[in-house]
Amino acid sequence: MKYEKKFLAREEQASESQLQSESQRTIHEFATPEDVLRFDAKQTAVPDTVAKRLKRSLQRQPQRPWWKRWLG
Amino acid sequence: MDKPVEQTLAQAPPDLASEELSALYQENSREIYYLTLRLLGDPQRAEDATHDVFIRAFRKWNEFRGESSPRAWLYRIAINYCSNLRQSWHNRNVFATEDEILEKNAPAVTASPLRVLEIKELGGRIQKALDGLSEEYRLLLLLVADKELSYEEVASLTDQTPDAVRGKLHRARKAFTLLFQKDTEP
Repeated sequence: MKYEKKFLAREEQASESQLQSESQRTIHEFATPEDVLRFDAKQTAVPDTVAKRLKRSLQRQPQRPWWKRWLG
Repeated sequence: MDKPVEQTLAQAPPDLASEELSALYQENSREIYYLTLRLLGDPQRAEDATHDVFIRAFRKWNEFRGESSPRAWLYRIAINYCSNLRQSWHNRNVFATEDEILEKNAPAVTASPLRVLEIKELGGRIQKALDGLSEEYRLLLLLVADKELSYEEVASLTDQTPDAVRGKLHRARKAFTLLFQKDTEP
């Protein structure tokens, strides 16, 4: 079974005195390296250019050579 | 006169608009991009890698026998791609020594959680920690982080037994935690 621990994320409320000096800050706590990586992966978007490039590349894809088509 | 259907199909290039390939891309592109991003450490190279991995996958899609999940199959293509790029004497030898040092200095139990205050800096800190690991440890952590992969699939992708994966993973976690905390804590 995969090593799993509950993902811990907590919002830490700054005390009233701190609120005046700094804005509310969020501390994320991760139990394992895998949790950090999962969180990071979710935040990471694939650039739109990848799909566009793929489409262009597939349209440009050369036809099979005549002898391959002929031989089947 | 129209071409016979078989001939048309044989000549037709794989089409991203086709439902099957489109689904393959939609369901796996984030994971493939993330793996290549963290293995190569560069967004532009990761973009190129993701593009090339899917081109290869689409061209070989007819040969995919379903012996593994499509995700694992794509990971294999991506791992081979990245390892071809990264393969050098330096990569294969220098990091092994670093692992030994890290294991020696690692705390016995990494009980304290990994704390992050600024999410926008998280990617950079993760990359820095991963870059300090050997290629093997880095790959293991990244693969195990994908909940869709079983230990058996991770073992198969890294050419070792599931037991070996478990053992190495324990050391990889310790090494990553040490590097990550070193960079995080004041």
